[in-house]
Amino acid sequence: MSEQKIGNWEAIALILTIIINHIILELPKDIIQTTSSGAILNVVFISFVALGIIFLICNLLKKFPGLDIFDISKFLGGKWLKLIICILFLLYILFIASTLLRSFSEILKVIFFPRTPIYLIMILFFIAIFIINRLKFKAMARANLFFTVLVLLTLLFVFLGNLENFTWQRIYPILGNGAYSTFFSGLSNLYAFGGISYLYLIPPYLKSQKDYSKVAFISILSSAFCLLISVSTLLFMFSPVLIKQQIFSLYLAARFIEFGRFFQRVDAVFMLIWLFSILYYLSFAFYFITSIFKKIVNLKNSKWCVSLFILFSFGIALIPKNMLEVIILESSIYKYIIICLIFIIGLGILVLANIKRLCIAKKKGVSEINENFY
Amino acid sequence: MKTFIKYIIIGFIIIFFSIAFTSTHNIQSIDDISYVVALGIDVGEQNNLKVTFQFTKPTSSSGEGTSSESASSIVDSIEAESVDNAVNLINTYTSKEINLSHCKLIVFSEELAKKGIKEEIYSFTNKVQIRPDTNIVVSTTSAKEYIESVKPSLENLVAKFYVLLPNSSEYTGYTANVELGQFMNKIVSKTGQPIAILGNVLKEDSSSSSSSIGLSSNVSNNSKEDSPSSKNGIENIGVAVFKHDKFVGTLTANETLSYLITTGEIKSCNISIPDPQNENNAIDLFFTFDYAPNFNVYIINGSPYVTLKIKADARVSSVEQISGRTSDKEIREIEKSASNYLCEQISHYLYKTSKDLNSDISDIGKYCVKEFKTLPEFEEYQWLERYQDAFFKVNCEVDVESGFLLVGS
Amino acid sequence: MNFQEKLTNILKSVFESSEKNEYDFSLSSSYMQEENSSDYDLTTEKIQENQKLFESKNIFPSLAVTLEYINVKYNTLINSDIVVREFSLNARNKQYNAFLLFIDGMVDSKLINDNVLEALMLRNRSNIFEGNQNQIINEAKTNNIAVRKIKKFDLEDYIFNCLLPQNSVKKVTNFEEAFSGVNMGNCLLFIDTLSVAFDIDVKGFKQRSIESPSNEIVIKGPQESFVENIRTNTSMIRRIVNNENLIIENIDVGKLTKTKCCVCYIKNITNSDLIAEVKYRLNNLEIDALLSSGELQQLIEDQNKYSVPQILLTERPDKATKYLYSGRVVVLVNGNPYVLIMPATLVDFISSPEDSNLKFQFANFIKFLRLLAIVITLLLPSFYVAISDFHQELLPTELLFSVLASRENVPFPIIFEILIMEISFELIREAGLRVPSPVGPTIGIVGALVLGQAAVSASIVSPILIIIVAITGIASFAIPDFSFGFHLRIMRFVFIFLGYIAGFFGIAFGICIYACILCNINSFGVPYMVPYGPITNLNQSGFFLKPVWKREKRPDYLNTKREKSQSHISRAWKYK
Repeated sequence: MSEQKIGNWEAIALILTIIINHIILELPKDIIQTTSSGAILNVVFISFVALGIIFLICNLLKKFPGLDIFDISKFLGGKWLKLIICILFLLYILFIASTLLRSFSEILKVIFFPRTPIYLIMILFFIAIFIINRLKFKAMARANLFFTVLVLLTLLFVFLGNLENFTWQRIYPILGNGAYSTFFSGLSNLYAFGGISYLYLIPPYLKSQKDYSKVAFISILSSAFCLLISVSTLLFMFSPVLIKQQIFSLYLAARFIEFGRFFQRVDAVFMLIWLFSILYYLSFAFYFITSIFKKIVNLKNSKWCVSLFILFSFGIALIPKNMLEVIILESSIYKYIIICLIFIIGLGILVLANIKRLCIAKKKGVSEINENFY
Repeated sequence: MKTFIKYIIIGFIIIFFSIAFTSTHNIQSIDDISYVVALGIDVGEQNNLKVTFQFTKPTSSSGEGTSSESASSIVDSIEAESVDNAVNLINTYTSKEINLSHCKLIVFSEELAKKGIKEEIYSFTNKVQIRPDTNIVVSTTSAKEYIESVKPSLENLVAKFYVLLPNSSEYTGYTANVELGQFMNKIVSKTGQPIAILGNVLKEDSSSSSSSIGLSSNVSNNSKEDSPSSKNGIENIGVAVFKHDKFVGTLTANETLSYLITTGEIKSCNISIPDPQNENNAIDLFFTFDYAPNFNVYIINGSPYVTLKIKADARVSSVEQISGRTSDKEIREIEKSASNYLCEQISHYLYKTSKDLNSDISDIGKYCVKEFKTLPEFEEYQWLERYQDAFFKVNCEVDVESGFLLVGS
Repeated sequence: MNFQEKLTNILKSVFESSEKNEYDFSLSSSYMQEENSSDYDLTTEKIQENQKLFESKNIFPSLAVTLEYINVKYNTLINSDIVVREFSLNARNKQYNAFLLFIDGMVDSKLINDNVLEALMLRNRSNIFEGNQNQIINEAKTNNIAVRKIKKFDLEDYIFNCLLPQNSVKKVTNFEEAFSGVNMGNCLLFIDTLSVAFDIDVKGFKQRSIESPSNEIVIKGPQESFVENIRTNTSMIRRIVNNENLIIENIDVGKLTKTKCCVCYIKNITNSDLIAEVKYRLNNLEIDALLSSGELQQLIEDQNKYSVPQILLTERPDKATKYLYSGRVVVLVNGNPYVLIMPATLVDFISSPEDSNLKFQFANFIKFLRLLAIVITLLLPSFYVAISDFHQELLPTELLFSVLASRENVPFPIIFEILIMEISFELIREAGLRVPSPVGPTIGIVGALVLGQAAVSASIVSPILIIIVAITGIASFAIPDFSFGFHLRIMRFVFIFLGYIAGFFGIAFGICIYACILCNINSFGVPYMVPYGPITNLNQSGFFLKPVWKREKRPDYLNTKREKSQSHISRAWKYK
């Protein structure tokens, strides 16, 4: 296998891409839906919680440099635990990516191609993913960096361009639907940071393991920032009642942007840039799917594997009958799956592995464990 | 051989795919679409809607090389159950497909607006083609008549005329620039109520419009005579007030100005105030509103008590008597008169919206929300219903800074 | 003549067709097969064996044999410009048979006459010693015993040291070296009894003089360009580099042509792995003939699948030198005024040698324009197609109506219209290049002005489209590197197609893959999109230039031996 290490910035961009794409689509809407005017408070709150979790993960992973969650679970529970975790993560990424693809294709169909059947739109996506996956992972990560910067700019632009349409008073009542819904049941909005799951996967790809915590913190901080500005854009622009009825709210917000009389119809350009980011999101997802698959079955050559999973995903994406089902899937079912998988199972494995390591270390002494490990 | 087969397969995929993809949209090309610039909706017979479309037909004047487009507009109306139905029907008459993505104006007749236009507004918001910056007009006459009477004199393009006309609210203050997105937001809002631009067709003989422009009875303002707007055939003066989605009344130009001041949408305008020295005279002041209006809402015994503070700068632009206005005392007097005048106008407007119309169009509710900690509490209070019990205290502060070029004014 | 004969004659002349006598030339297939069919029955190996017998490596001591060998090798009987001049050589009063071998037209006859033939043939004072007399070098007497240091007469050394008043003489022992010298315009001296030949540099062929560069024009900057002769080129580089650390290594490429290539680098700056890689690639080219640097570029590029150029070609010595000092390798090819610079990244292809000569504000403005030009060249036509087919709502209403008005009478769909115009624009460009130079400008005027005007007034195309094609064309000229511009011109058509298929979605599809491919390419171990992907010291080597006194470091990605190119305070005068 060739050298597939990526630099810090590329890694940060990777995590950001994963989170931002959900932000572009449904995330802010879901958050506002559950917490209404308390959304900003809720976002700040869950960002802090997420940062705390990242702190925990970084510290737990410090003892296992360069290993991803699968290697750690192998260390913890042997081959079978690794297999289970691999399959769980594989299915998780596959399903999330497929639904994201489905919802974005639906939106594309509504906005750009009212007469084109949805599977054709999806096939075009898949061709792109297939071609991009034939290239090196390094190249993907590097190219993604440019587009992530662009996408960040668009989010900022949507925020700044709409400043004059904002009604700042919409932040009141500050607690939204009440403290309980903002802080306790709103905690489930932590699934916004589903990109953390990729933080479990990237350690083997990082050039320098020392920078892992830097990567994790910067990426989560900046995605929290993105979440904050897009949630506030929506909250200040539309009344929460309206947001509940919208699909793709951020695009609707982008339609309001105008500078003078000439630059007033720029939403298609936003779509163009968001398309870049969606394409790279999917490419990453499929890259990781194939690499997990490779781990399960010990494959060497995985070039054609991706086409297999593309077909899989094509099927999965076509399962929901309409947009409403997709939205329900995203906002209710996946929400809890993500929380379970990432914040309970993932953290649990890390904690247990650390405990096991400590136990072995006590028994055998520190030097041997290290040998044993590498 | 293997590569050859590979190329054949790739080529086949490309050809197949491009055909599959393009064949689904080949009707969409720019040439095959006609663009609606204005939509009018009237009440038709038998519960139907009468939808009026205005197209422009771009024709390049075939001068040598130069193609200056002048758009002749075509107005066509049709009766149908809904707007979409009307679009379908009109597609059967026109050779080109109708596209609403450049629709600048949606006109509702007063009659329809009184019935409620929620369904139409929702279906417009639901459409990808209709943009949220489309202006909403309620016409005192039928929408068709309104659209037919539009005769832009300064522009070649009707569409440009439609875009520019509501912009005048920024410097005249006689109407508001109401857009679809805003309207939709207000319809579902729990804190405020929507408004629309009030449109009126100018008849040949009547120079007085529906709303009297004179600021107050004793200060006459003769801006009506020979105003260029009369050539347009239409005028947008005043505002149509809605309660939820139903038209409940109108605001005069003066009240519209008050509305704009209270929402902070106006930045500068000319206002005539009564001369403190001579009751029969008027002084024109050029106001600039640099500060947002400062609302405070208190709930006293269940009914809202609204205080409003307005700060404005003004410059004297025209007075009848040039002499004798230099002293500080005189200027203070003008200030006082201006403040009083503004307070009077605004509280008149506020009480009108509260008591007569019972519609919080200034979105005062959003200042009230602060008083509540959670949304359910606010919803329980039912601001929109309580608005008619509101009391207002308006406090205006006007700084007069002499004239423009003539210091002594 | 009776009637019957007449009739048959007439009939014959009418109906009789003569034997077909077409001129039917076909190249005979490989000689091997012919010989196979004959009785000789020579297999390929046998032929090679025979040839090996005939191949001789070392020069024969006997002059006659050598002469015979050369006659056969050079086909002197039919090769008109090979000159073999036989003469007798005078050395120490002895005469030896000798001959000169050179190619007429490639040598300077005056040089041969004056410095070679005259010195060898005429008697002069130092030449009249006795034949084998030993030369006393020095003599010392101690205790009446004379110790003499004597140098034995050696013809080879004698000729080399005393008889060839020429600055560049090499002794060669094998024919291969000897012939390559002759082919380059040197003159070979063979002498009887010696198994050594003398390679005398008497090159005197006509060559183009140094002119100002024709294809990479700058306003502020040196106005000289490389020529065909490799030595002139190396001398130009050396003159500008002006440092003894500049190494110019020779490598011959091509099994038959033995084209001289020079690998230039600055020893204490350039990364040694890079040098080794370049030399490795050059040394392992199994080709018969190498005729131009363009061929060499294609032969040693990393990825030939994509049309992206990965090696920079330049005709400007100052540009080459600039890159040498930044730690790159320059390869010169004999007979070509273009040199190769490697590794090259995307940033290099869109910067011009003029940039560093200008104030950084000007340079950055121009660079920004170039970036714009790239975007326009690549995407403007496709955006036009996409917008007019899919995203009409993107156009401001007034613009939309002017587009509509201009397209009113045009019968073609937009994709067809734009393809017509783009292709005819490319045709005009190509035709303008190929026509004889006096006609060239006319083609441009006729093509662009008359055709465009006529097409518009005939309502074949819309004026807006002419504007778009013209802007695209102008923008493509603003890209400094020819091959990169070419690449963009090709990619433009791909994007037009994608824009036609799926509008912005198609374009996004294309851009994503294109960007990924660009990031995937390596040029001699350097990622193509560096310093942006991966990010390496962006401050020092980014696309936009810093002020000249702040360009302190060499590009990080080249891993140079000398990291800094100027000290932290380069304008020391200011802070003294």
